[in-house]
Amino acid sequence: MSEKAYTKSAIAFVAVLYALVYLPIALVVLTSLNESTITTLPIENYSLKWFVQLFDNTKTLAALWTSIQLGVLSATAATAIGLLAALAIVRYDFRGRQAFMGLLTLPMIAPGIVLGISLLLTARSVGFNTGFLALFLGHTLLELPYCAFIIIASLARFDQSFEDAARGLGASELRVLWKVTLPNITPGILGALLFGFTISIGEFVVSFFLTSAGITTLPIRIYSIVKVGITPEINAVSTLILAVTILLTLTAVRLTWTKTQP
Amino acid sequence: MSVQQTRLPLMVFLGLPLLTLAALFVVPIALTGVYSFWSVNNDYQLETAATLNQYRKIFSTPLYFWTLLQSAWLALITTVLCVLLAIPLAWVIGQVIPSRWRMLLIVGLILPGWVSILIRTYSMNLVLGEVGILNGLLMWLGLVDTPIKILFTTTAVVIGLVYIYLPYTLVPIYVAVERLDRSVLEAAENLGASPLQRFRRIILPLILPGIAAGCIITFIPSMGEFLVPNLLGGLSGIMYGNLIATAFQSYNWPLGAALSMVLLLLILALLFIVSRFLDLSRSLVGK
Repeated sequence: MSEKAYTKSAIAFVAVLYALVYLPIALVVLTSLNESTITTLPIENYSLKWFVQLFDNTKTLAALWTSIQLGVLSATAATAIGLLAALAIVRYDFRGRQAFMGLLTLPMIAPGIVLGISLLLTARSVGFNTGFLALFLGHTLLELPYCAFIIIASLARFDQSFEDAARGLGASELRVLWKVTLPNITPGILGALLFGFTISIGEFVVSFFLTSAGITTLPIRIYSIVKVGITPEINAVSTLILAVTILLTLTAVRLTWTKTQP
Repeated sequence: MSVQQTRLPLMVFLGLPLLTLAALFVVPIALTGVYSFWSVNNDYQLETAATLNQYRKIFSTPLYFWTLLQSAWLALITTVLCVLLAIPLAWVIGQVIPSRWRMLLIVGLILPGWVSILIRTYSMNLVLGEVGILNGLLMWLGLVDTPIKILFTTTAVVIGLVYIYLPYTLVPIYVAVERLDRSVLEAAENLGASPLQRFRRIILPLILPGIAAGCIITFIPSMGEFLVPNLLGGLSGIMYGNLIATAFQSYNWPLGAALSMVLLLLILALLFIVSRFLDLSRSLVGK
């Protein structure tokens, strides 16, 4: 095969994969704009009526509000704890450092269902009801590895000699941390917050076991409707989540992408 | 020098993360292990006398055992398909396409990985369903007269799993491919190696750690997947995760706990075997 034909077919392959990856997502968005109640193509009339109707559905609105609060709080907690973990890993050489990193990686690869049921068992065993607090703790655990590794990457790129200079000039450790280290890894911290929020807002399995009768997250609400039957309203909620997720992820990628790429 | 002495104690930083991981991960998993040796009586009351009954039940009930095998099988097919797609994708984006487009193209493929699994799984309904776009296309092309049944089969589960996990498979493989040293490939080419030889003898060994990491982060979560078979699998496409959820929903927590422990032990065994051959944390974290 000639060099040119090779490049062409290679590009065609990527283009086809792109189409396949984005087709289902595009279908959700398109059908959410369909005025008819039939959630399929072709679309006769475009309208935003399903988005407007969302705001009349108090249950969906309540789930949306829970998800936003949960996302903000768990992302903040996971980023704070992840920052501490990252500082320990990058700045200190201690026994068991490798094991600690392994432990930190595990919640990321363990099946969500096992995490969900083990947290449910624990909550019940200590006489703790499922609901917002349980969801908050579960989401914090899920986000922690991602937040920590994003900040680790950010810390590893930052030149430590600035810290040594500040120390040499007599700054206390806390002051070094506050005035030198943190300002230099702000993009990493913001990226961790955004990725954490993104994980939380879309999370399903762990939430599935930790919701209570009154407290539901948006994905759980969507699931309970989809189980009964697909409605155009679901496409509208999904489109909203999609838009928020994609926007936040792109921002986070911009903030954290290594500039040292060749 | 004095710089070292003024450092804050390690525990100032390590304390809270350790506590979080202990309280929310280690203790819950250990507790699940304890539950798996308990049982429930006919009134659904917990009985805390240690017994191996739950494990015995799992390995003597064909449904459980068969579902475990089916899950491993579906996860394996998913992993193979994801890797077969990810290697050429990573190669084309990382080596063939001009470097200024690389970041944009790879981010575009990883981006869906951050979108809610629920929404992506649900979107497959719109593609694979009876009135979905796939059936519409097949009928429009005249290949079939009536809609074919894809949704609620194991095929739908595998398609869904590949769709969900491809971004995760792609990341470590892409990192490995992008790091390849061009001069090594050129040397092989100049010495007369055919494209196939170059791939088998040079490229493959070099990107193998990335492939292994990609396999692990695809196989493990798809093996324990609950949502995809739940929404796309119907009755024929159930997976092990559905058994765990069902046990919990029918208040047989010890059984659910034992099912979880079996899954966890299998995963740990797998990780142990793989880690004997390569440094996993390095390939997973990509450092």
